[in-house]
Amino acid sequence: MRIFFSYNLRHLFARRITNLLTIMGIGLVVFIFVGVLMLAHGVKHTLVNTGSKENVLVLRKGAISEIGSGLYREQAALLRTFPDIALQGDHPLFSPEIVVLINLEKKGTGTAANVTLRGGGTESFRVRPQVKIVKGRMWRAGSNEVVTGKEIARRFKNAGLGQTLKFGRQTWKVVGILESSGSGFESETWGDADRFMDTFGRTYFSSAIFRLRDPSLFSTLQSRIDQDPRLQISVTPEAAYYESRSGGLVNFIRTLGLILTGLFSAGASLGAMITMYGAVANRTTEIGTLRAMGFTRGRMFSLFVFESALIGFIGSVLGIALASLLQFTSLSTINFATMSELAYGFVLTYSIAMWGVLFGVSMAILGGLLPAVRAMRTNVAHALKFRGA
Amino acid sequence: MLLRYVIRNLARHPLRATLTVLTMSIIILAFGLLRTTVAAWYAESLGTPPDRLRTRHAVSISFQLPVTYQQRIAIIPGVSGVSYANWFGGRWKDGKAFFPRYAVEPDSYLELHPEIQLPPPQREAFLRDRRACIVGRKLAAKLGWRVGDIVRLQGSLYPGNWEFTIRGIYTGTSQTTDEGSMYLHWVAMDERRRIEDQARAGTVGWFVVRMANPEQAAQISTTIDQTFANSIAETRTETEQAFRANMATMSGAVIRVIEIMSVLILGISLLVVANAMAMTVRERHHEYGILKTLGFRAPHLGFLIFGESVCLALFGGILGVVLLYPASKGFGMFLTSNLGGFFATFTLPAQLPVLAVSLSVGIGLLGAIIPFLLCLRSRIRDELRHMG
Amino acid sequence: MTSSIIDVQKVSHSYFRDDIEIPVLKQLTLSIAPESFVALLGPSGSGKTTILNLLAGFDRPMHGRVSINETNVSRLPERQLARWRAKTIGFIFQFYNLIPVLTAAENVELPLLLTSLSRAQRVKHVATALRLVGLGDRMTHYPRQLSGGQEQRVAIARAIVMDPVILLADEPTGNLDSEAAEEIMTLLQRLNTEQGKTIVLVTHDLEAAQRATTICKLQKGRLE
Repeated sequence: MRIFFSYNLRHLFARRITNLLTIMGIGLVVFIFVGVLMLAHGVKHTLVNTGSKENVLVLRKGAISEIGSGLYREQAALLRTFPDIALQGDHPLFSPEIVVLINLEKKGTGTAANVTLRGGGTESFRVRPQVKIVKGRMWRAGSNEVVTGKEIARRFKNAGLGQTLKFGRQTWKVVGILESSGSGFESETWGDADRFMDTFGRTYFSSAIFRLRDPSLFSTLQSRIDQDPRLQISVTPEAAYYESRSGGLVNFIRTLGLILTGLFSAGASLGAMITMYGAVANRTTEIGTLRAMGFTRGRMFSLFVFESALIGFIGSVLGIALASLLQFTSLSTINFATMSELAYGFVLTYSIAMWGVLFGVSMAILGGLLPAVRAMRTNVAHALKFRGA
Repeated sequence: MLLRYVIRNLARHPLRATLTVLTMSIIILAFGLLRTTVAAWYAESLGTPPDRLRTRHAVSISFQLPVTYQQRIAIIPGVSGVSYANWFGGRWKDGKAFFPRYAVEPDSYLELHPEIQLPPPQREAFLRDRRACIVGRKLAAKLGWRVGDIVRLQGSLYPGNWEFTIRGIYTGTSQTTDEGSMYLHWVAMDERRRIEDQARAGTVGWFVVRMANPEQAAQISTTIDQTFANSIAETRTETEQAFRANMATMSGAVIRVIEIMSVLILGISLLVVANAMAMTVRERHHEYGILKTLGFRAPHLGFLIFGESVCLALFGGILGVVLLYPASKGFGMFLTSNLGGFFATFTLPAQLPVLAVSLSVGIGLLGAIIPFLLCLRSRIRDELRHMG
Repeated sequence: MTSSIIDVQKVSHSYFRDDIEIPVLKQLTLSIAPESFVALLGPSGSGKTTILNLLAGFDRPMHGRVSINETNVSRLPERQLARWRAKTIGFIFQFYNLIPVLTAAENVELPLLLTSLSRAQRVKHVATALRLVGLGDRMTHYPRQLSGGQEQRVAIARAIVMDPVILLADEPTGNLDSEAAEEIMTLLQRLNTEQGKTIVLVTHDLEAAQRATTICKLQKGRLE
């Protein structure tokens, strides 16, 4: 095998322009493939991270998103007394919230985009310990102060610390920036629930979130709520809710991305095939010589398959290295489930990289199979005469 | 004569030429599909007539306006018709087959949207029956619905169970018209809200305003928004085209990724063509040497190499475009049925074949550069040695 | 000798292979009169082919001067060299070097494509050249449909179609059986006597060399 390796490597170098072009071709396809997986994973990562397993989200019965949901103050008051809710000191970890969309202007283009506005109180942070104000401070209750998510501050006009936003015919001072390890909350703007209700002429909350004393209590809680005719609400584990939000977009990226990488890889496979056929044709004499020296047909076959695998491997590594640079960028797009903008990153994981290599190598091997068969079938006598003719 | 030489050269390596043409065609095919996807995304905004405005709540689309605004908009000079609609939401069966559902004031809505075509008897039947709905031709075909069938929905924005009888199946007047939506009576929805959800009764998602003269769009929009300035619900009015275009650009990042992909893939095809040509040139090293001894110079050799490369790329490109027609149908059917919420229509843009073919020629030319340089760089002495 | 058509003055030349200098020609002086038929005879490695490369301007001598028809070949810029070469010199190779995808007539036509001759004129020239080598009836045959001797005759037709004054032949019989070699040598002789072509023949075949009017023996880069 070691002889194989250096033999192949030397040949790759000898035909370096051809091989470089092939490697770059495979590299590009792997780049696209890995990029798509990274984006899909990034979207999932953002949304799944948003929800926590111990939390339960309360929506109006039948509602599928916080925006389209409504929760009356009486319902919220009744829920707050439920014994299943975890306590912190005397306070139940329960946060009724108003969630609406507003239009904000983006930096650069100046176009308006939908942004999620979440009105709550100190409980909003208590039930979500992963959300932290990293700069500035919390808003004062009952004031026109807001805290913007990191991504909002970065992408929207006047959303930075100390700046002033305008929405709902009022002005709002940005007094803090929140972060939550890349989750969707970083694409939201938070403020005081009562002020928001006043501003938008609403008398009811959108949803409520609470922490369970024990996650195993969920199913009994659910059946109790379903049976209570006063409530007309539905409960979902927060994690499951946010995971379902990602479904459409992840599905979109995956479907489109994978169909297309399928096509691209067919192209790159054929490209590798062209190269390997060329390699076999170029080395007819050499194949004859090796066979005359006693190399078996099987050996010749594996020699060429190995060579194309090597091309595929180098190409994949190149593609993955290129794709890893994507981690420094991020994308923002509308999330169709909530109709609001959300920023996503590209996330490279170990398993995505492995898939990339597997993909690139098998693409190259697929392209190398037929040429290797040709090498295997080369007639020794004919191959050795080849040069003279 | 040199051209004949080029053509015969193409046939010298039938396997490689075939593979190159095949690769090129697959890539042009993928390029075409990507471009069609991008075009489909923007299709709706292009298909919208220019004479309609859309008035919604100034804060965002998640807020509603009082239905009473209708009369106040209708009397504004230059306005020739007003209708209104709500996003109905809801879930059909397990929610997997998604299609847009609108609660509209049917009479005025159909009048303002001439692109929605209904046979007169079906239109009559729909207007008469408050529990009726109409559905698009494509949607009906996909879910196997016929006139008279009952659609059962579970409410999401408006709770409860809902039943609507299909009284009509509409068709679009042009290819860009959405034929995948469902329309129902706004009154039917509002009746129930008056009982169960009074806070939201009597509100609409947006008004559709028709202008007598589309050139007055800016002026009329301003007048409408001024009419409601400083009231509880301020409005924001823009042309329907602008609204749709804005919705399309909000998802811009995904589309931009697709656009970037379509450029990258051309890069792949360039590599493949350049590779095939580099191999060809290397093999004909000796032959180019002979031509040089006969007095052939760079322009002649260039003609041979570039000519061959362009032929290969062009054949591939043309094959790709030919394949694009059936493939875009299949791909379009797949997308509209699996990702129907994203794509209502999927048709090949008219200028795409021309673009694809000219890009193939460009790829052919670019792909020949490195091989051509390889050929120029070598010296006759060494080329002739090759034969020895 | 001012009447010489080819004048090689004190030419030295070496090749480099992996930075090792391999001297090929040492202070070589050679002059050839117009319309003569010179055979350069010598074993392989004696520098025969190098002389041809220098004469044709494929290579430039490191020292010394190569003049043909009073033109200093080693000074011509590449672009002019190609034009000059096409007009002045015809080549004949050991392996014929025909383009396999072109017919005999098309192969012969190749150099004419670089001229401003009309299509009809080109056809006429091609026919004349092929008739001259005795292949007037093989115009539409492809190289693989011809015998070795016939292929070489097509190559000779290609070499003379531009009516050059000099023919350079590198082992033209090296790949042929004795009968075909006979024919080729007779043809070259005829071109020398009837058409007045100056011919430089490089070979290690003594029998072929004897058909020339002058024989120069090369040994280790020097004339004997």
